[in-house]
Amino acid sequence: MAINEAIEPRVGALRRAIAAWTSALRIGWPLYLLELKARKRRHWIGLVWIFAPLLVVLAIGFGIEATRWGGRAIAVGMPYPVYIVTGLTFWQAFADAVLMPLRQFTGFRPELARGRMTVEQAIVVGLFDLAFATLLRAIFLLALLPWLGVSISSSVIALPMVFIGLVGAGLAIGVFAALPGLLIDDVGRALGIALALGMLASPVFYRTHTLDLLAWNPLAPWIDTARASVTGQPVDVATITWGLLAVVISLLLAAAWLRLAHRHFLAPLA
Amino acid sequence: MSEPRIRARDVSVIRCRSLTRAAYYACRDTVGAIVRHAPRSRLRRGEFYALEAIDLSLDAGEAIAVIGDNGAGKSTLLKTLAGMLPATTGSVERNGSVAAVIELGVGLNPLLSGRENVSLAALLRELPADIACAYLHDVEAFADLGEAFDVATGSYSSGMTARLAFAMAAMTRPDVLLVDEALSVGDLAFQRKCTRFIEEFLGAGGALVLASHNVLQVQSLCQRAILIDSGRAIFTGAAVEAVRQMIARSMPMVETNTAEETTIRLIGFGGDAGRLRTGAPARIKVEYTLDEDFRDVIWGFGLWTADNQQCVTTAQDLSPRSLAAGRGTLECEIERLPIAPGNYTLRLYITDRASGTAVALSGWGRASTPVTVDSPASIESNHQLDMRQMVVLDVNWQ
Repeated sequence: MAINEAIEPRVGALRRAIAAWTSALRIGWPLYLLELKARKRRHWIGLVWIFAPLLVVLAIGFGIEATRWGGRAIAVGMPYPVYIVTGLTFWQAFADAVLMPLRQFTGFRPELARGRMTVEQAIVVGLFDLAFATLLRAIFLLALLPWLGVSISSSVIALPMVFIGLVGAGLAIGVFAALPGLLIDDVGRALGIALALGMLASPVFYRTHTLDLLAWNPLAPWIDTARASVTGQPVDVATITWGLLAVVISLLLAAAWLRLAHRHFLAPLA
Repeated sequence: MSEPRIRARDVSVIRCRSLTRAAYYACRDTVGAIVRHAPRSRLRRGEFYALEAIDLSLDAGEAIAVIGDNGAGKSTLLKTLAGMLPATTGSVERNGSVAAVIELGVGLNPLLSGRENVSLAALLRELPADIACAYLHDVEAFADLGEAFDVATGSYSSGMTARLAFAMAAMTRPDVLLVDEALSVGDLAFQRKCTRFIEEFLGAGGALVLASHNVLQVQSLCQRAILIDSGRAIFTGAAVEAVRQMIARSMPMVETNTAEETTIRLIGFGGDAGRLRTGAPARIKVEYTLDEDFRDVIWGFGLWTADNQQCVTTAQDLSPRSLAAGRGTLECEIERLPIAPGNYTLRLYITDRASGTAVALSGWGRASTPVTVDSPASIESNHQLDMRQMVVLDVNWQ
């Protein structure tokens, strides 16, 4: 006997998707506040975690720069602490965006599995969290740079765009990985390893342009552009334009995947 | 005629035993949904039917029970009816709002208080502020948790969780309420409160689907029931009849050993039409074969539980009698059989009256003689079965 599976009709699929995102945006903020309230009960030092990696890296940067080895081997065209603290700030925005969907889906797994919450709502709550953390890091960075001897120039107006690009790119990757990650723990672990390797292959701690193997890394121009926007160097507008276009397309594909795939991935958990 | 509140047509749910394989199938199915591939003809590796070809219709004001053993598919059916779990094949139509209390506590954020969880539920349902506020007050009043309402639900007992979960579902004032075992968790006062609520809910035109192992509750609240076994509906009809079938399926089977030779055997134990019925007359007729003449012997019988572990009752004729060698019969009559419906075994004996030495025995070793006492399906007889009751007292209530 043929198994005629019930398939969501194509008619009205776009309308349903738009309705899901609209609803998610409508209730996302109060949901985020409730989520914050719940999270606060598990944390001791809360917001410190947003800045802790930057502070640690900054200390390492000063340490390395103070040594003769650092002075000779790491030629980054700017004070080394500035290089790594900017690099890490931007990398963290990307990495947090990659991990966010899976973290949200795992945290809201019971609600998602029982249809109390939509995947779009879970993503929007995570986006508020991501935006909050990214904004705080950006403010922290902009406050820190003058202290490090870097003067902020007009190129800083490109900063929101590069942040949106980095977060969007990370989000698209994260959304594709999150649904399988709900069922298979290996996905989360693989993401963690991939991000660690990705950081080594990106201009976070050192320049990667001269290394042939790492030249393909599409994130490298973004991180360099982001760094340029806060260090007063010229910003490559073409990189931002094409990059943003690619990110928008990726996000649309990710949203389509989310809508089409979520019922198949959530059903085994219900 | 109005539309049924819920109508499930040929609903099947296919699940996969392995989550990793389920993820692989989910990827394939997503692609399949895009390209609309042809229907497949068989289950894939690791898949099984959690529900198979279920048809169900529920009208306003009606209550239907879903009964069956653990793992039969009751919760899966409720989740499918609630829309939490999509049917793999078939369709579920819902006319009206549906609220479900399934798997208590699941869906409550353990870090949030009861009040915050209710707010979260109101938020997810996108209730307007005034209605959300009323909903919060209704849930608080119904759950009656006192100060615990403002404590994180992670510290709740199962009973407190049941209170909150049921109140959250019930106070949405749904058209259809789906309840899975929630009523058996709370304390007695809360169970009574829930039962009263359901009666009023049904009286006001609500529809109820109740999955429960509590047969009394099922029979008192529901007119119809669906008995599920291994994902299939094996009976759909009157609740009392469905309960009867469920209990009958769970009765222990009597182990028989016809190979054992006996010198006394049951040749008749029955009432009218040869069936034993609770409260009806019964007659026992046994046949014996003796090698020699015996004087001053007595005979009797004992009724034991089906697993031969416990004696229900014994009866013996203490008047001495003489039995001649060869084949003969003994008979007795019971005016009103005081035995509850169920499966039993019968043990027969003829013994020497003075010494108690056995002359002939049957059913004392492995050669059990199965006996089934029946009773028409009713709330009372189902209760007797459910309680594994063995004796029925003939009581004159004043």
